[in-house]
Amino acid sequence: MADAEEPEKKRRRVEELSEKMAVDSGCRDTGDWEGRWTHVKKFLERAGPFTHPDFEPSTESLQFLLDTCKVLVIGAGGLGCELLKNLALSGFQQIHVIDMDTIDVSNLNRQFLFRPKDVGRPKADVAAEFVNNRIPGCNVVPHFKKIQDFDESFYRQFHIIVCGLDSIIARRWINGMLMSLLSYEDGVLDPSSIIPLLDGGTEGFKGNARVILPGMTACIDCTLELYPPQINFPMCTIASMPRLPEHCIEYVRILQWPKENPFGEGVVLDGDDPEHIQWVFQKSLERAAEFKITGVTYRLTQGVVKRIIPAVASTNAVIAATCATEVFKIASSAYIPLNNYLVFNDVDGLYTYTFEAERKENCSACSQVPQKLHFSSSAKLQEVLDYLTENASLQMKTPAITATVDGKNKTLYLQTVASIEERTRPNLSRTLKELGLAEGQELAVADVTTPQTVLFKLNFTS
Amino acid sequence: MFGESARALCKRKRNEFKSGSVAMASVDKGKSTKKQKYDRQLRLWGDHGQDALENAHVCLINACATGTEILKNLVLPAFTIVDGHKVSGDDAGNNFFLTKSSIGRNRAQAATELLQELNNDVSGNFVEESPDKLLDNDPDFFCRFSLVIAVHLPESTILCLAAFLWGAGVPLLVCRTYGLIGYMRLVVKEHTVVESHPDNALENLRLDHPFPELKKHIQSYALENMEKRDHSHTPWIIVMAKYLEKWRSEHNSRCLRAIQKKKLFENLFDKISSGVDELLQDENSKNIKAQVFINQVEEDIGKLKSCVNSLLQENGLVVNVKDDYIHEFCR
Repeated sequence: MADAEEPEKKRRRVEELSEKMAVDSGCRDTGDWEGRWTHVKKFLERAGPFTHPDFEPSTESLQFLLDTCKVLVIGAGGLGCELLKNLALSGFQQIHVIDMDTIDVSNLNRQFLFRPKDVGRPKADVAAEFVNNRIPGCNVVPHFKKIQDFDESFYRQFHIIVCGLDSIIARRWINGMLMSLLSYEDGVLDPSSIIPLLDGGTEGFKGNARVILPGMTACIDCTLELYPPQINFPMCTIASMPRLPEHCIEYVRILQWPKENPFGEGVVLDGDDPEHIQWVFQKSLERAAEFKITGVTYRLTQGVVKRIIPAVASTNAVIAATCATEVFKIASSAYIPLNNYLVFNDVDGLYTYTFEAERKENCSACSQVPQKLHFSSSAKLQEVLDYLTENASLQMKTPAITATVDGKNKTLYLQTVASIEERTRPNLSRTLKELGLAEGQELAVADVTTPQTVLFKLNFTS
Repeated sequence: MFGESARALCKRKRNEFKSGSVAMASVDKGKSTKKQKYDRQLRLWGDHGQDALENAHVCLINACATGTEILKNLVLPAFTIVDGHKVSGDDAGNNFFLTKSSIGRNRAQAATELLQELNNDVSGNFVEESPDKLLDNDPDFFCRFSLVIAVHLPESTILCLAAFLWGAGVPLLVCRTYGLIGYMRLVVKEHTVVESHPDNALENLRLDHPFPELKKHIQSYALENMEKRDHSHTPWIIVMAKYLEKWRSEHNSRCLRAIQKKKLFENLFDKISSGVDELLQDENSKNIKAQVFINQVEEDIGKLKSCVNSLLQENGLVVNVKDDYIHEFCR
């Protein structure tokens, strides 16, 4: 390695450099210094045995990274902080970051761009400030917003998008957004409309990273079944036959809180409010005592209420490094990208594996195959709703169903607006025939999991 | 060194169980900021794991980007950086914990400052010396550490360092990165794992030989007379035990080989579990088939003994070695 060789020569060079800087600093400060990009240039300005077969070394690639390549980082938390650091050090200087959260004390163990004094401030803002300060010339633009606050015109400007999200819904949303940007001419996908999406996720000692080329490779929805199911305890266990401390806590959260409204009528349980957690904790202890269950602690209470996922710096570092490397590979075309899914687990020793996730033929997000609904005409609308939420490939959260009946746009059911929910609720117990729906009818379904409505074709089975 | 810490940990664990409920109450009474800050990782390795980390002292040799990244991720232990180099322009370009103003300064010192800034709870130190010099003049320097991390060291230095650390019982982690290739190698004489928190532990419930109180408890359930609701709320272990009893009464287990027994049992199990919702919903029951060990014990001691001898010989061990491992009662 260069470091260990010729230390004398190196020392002399550094001395010369320091002298030069002492003279120059008065005149101008470009932020750059000699040798700053030596390591990055080694990747871009020379070919090697591992480079992409089509790669042509060039001195212009670095300028592209520095001046032109626009990268969007979604999330400024555990993964986001790492991503911003890695991208900035790799030469990317036109970076945007979106995060809707503010800094919490529990973030400080791993989100190393934040300090105790920053608690309460928006993550995106603090992260951008820190990186821009530490890496001269880097221009991270923060957005203290939700991803849903932006539309196609915003996302279209980026060359590459990297996600460090903590929710599957959000992933599906950005996935759907990038699908909507694809343009087809005569059924052929226009490659210039593709924005690569790198997605990373971690949980404790486990993590995964994937490369998604919208329209070409498997997308988030293609592999929806890969995500582990959320642990939901059966209601009868919670209500009458608890055995675990978690059952007691869920009882208080789901049944007791709405009944007693301890902090006022309609005040929703806030997992970040220690007084709320304290109340749930006390009540859970009482319930546990009733059934002679041990193990209810404040920490467990918080974990169950907030659905806390344990997190540690090292896993985030590995996954973010993987994603950032792929961003570099794709932006520079210097190396063959990951194809296309990496899993990592160092609970027991260290395990990692890559494989090619396959596209689903009839994926509701990326296949362009019209989605079909098969129901009897005497089936109730509730059955359709249940299918949309329970089907493993769809897993919608709060779908809103509309259809064109008698030439008019009719909302069949919508639950996200209370007044409309009340008005359309009776439709759930009506049959599809009663609602005036015909064979071959198109139903438009909107949901948080996708920025665009999904069209379904209704096929009557009887 | 590790043996000692393992014994200390076991002692602490025993004490904790004794005063368990008292300790819990004082821990739960309002969370200190530290517990809040480390909450997400405390959920992974608990208080003892956290203590072990906080009381550790790690030595990093060479504050190149690979090295400083490792320290960044560790966060908690005290650290000492050993590095005789001065910061170059190259270094400042690829290391988050060096800046333009670090150039020309000693690399250990410059990196320590920016790493220290990450966390006030941590104590960071630096030694402006090359490891070769230290090994020549004061190798005992390395004995104080829980772990030494050697990044981008030439082979001659690593060999010397490794030989010394091996003798001193200090674990060594050797790392090198080169473009998109890297390696790491862990050199540890002996490492004890205690209080692991495994994700999916396959537990041997020994249901084929239930202890007396458990047997009595199992017998108190009459599954056939239960209503579906009660049946589906019966702990799955009871259901398993009942059917295991039934299966054994129906099969003369002596004549069957282990693999046949397992298959037969699995078939019976699949039949009954399809009707029992609780079994289907319980996460643990997914591993049911693996968890019920149908333990086979060879009753003929003579046969057992001869088996041990042949095993030892197969693996190139002197047969007398078994005397160290066999309890005097069994000899």
